[in-house]
Amino acid sequence: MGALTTFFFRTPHSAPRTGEIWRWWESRRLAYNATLLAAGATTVAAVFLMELLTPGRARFPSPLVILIYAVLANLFFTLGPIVDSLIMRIGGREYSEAGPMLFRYGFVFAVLLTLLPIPVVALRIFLGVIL
Amino acid sequence: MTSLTRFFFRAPYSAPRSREIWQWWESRRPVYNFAVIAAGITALISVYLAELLIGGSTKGVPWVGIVIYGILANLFYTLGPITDAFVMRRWGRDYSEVGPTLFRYGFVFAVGLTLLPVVLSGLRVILGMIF
Repeated sequence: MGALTTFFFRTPHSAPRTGEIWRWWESRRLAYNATLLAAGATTVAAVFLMELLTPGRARFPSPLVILIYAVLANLFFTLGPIVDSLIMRIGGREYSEAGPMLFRYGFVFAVLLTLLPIPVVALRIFLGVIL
Repeated sequence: MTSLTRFFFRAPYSAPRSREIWQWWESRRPVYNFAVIAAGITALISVYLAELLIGGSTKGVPWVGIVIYGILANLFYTLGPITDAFVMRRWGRDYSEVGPTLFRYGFVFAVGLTLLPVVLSGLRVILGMIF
């Protein structure tokens, strides 16, 4: 099993206890935060560079906004083990894939949301040039 | 195979041609649009209700924003079959799962993004009650 598979999947039809579910999620929080940090840095740099191309002053986002975004991203991450534990408690091992699936979709969603300003600002600049 | 599985998956190790790939994606576009519209209506209603709850000023429906959002959602959707056809042409049937995976993650991202104001307005109401 590759490292990526180990990271994004759990052994099929396993029946982890609540403590194991929390450990599974918490062992991935650091990588989740590092990925979001990298995506956020890419977005801030890309938007800053694109704004240099347009008239007006290029600005960095407020640190308060970044802090609120990071807190919210971690709050939503915490919903993962809560929902996962609830599903496992109610549905049992038949639903053991639900948690890792939530993790995968949540991970991709968070990264894409963080990167979203890049195409939006690019489109705004492009439309500003042609219109 | 349930209709939901048929909708979100393709037969494993199939080798569809570019035309079939486009048909696969285009046959799902109306449902995608319907899901995004339903999520959009839910988001608009929840934001309106949240404004009423916190005693803010309720504004009219932002039609221009909605039209731009709809166009962008469909533009990004169109990237799906383009990427899928490219991957299939370049790497063949071993990568036939890439397209449907893109579709699933894109679908969840679009619906999740459209529903994001529901969560944010809910959070605003809760914070407004506390502070």
